[in-house]
Amino acid sequence: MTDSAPNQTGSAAARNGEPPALDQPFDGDSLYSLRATVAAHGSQAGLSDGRTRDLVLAVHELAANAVRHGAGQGRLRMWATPEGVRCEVIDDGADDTGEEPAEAPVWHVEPGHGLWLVRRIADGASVQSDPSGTVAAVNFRLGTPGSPAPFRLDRRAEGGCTVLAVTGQLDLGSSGEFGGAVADLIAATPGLLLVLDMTELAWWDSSGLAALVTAQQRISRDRSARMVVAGLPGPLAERLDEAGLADLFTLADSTAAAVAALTSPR
Amino acid sequence: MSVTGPGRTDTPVIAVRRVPSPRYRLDGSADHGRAWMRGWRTGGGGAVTVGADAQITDLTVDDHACLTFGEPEDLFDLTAAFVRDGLACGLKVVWISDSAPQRATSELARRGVAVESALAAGQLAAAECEGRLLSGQEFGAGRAMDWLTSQMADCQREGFPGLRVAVDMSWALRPVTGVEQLPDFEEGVAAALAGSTASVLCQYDREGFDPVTLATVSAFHTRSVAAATYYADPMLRICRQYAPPGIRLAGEIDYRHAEPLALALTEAIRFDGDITVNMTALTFIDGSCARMIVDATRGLAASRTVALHCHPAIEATFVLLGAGDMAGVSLVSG
Repeated sequence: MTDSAPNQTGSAAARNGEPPALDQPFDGDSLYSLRATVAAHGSQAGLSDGRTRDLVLAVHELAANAVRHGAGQGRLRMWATPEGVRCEVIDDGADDTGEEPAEAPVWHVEPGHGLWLVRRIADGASVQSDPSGTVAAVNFRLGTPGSPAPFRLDRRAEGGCTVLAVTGQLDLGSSGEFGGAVADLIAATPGLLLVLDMTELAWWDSSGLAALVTAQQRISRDRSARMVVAGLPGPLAERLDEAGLADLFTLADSTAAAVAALTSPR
Repeated sequence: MSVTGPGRTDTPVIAVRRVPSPRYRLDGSADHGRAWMRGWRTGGGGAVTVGADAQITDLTVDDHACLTFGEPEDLFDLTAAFVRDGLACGLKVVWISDSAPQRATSELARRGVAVESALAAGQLAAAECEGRLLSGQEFGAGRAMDWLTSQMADCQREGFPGLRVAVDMSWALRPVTGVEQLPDFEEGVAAALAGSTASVLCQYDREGFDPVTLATVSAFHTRSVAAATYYADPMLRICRQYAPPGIRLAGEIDYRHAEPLALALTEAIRFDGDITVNMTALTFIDGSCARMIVDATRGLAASRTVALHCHPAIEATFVLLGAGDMAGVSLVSG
């Protein structure tokens, strides 16, 4: 697993040797206060409520991994930059048995488990191991530069399909409205052909991503309905891929391509 | 379920669910060693021994039970189960609540009690204590007993096979004249109920009442009832939920409390029927505990459903773990 994040937020600061905003040791007994500290710093760095919760969960999973399967303790280092937040969890490797802590098998990715979940919620995740230990890092970006457009849903008909255009942040504050709109469309439209126009989507948090997954699952349960996600901005398409969720969706470059895909005879 | 009509001398168990009562401890480690069920015991001196050894669903006719609760959620949950089981047995049910009757009935309705039809049929009544236990913020044991015996007579005249009365005692925490007669009242209730077809559930806020008062009044009760608590500390509470049945989590939970969570889930699954995992007061759950809940639901029979009630942020974790696509699982934002 390499650092393949599209936005290596804060990692430049880390590489430049800037001192972290937070450098805190932890063990199994201090995970609660670690979470509270990370929440405070994430919020202060400008992360939204939903993004701060994601950061807390990601850091907890990395720290818990170090406690349970690694050295039993570790350090958290956190940088905040105008672009975002980077957290590094440093695991000094195996316990005091003196064994060589080679490529630690504890830091592999298993479906449903810590690192797997971290990759679903962080904007970038990496794990680097060497004989001195393991550094697991997560990046969370601070939304788009400038003030993002407020969240908005616009519905229109196009070529026999229903187009739902999503503008702004799909997050904890807006995912409920989005999910409700999709559910209403499914209920009201037999044989719904839905294009989610994501061209103006700014970013999402795990609630927004979950709302997309839920929308697709609802569509899939209704056998007559189909859905295509159109115009997803490149970085978000990469995030979807990193999260291992790209296969769940049908993606199209544009609304026109999505309409064509939905209306062409199968 | 069956209920015995008036005149029978045996006391039927109204709820047929049998509750296992494991005295749960983890591996004996000190940091987990909170009591499995909370309550108090008074014993010796010929007094009735009262322990929190009964579940709300175990109460029988002519029980005089003492419920202690720690938070409104507890009170409403346990009361809803008491009311639900009473109505299901055809009994008349009266709740003297500390909140407005409207609020009381809506809390019951939210927990699955068929409030509207029961109210319309005169089988359920919710009322304030003023005019019943109190008169102009004055308490008198004699007047309160008159009210109770009139309720028992009314119930019999109306043809119900029995009566269930729940009384929130929080009024006694306010400056009420005559509050010192509370033990007299509890003693009178105990005498009035013996051999009757009525049961009374006295509800005490265990944070509000001092231990001496609680110990004094507890002696007059035949049973002590509290929510089965699997874990409780200032950061986390795991307890059973009775209406609708399931478990309730509040606070923050991570892998370090996986064992009490596993026990709570195991017990919830052991009962029949659908399960609710109430996480509306949970602010954090880590991947391993969320996975444990998902895995527990995966093993259920196809006919049973699981409702996961949680904050939207926590719901997202469950969706990303795949719970949204599992048969029988519903995610409810709350």
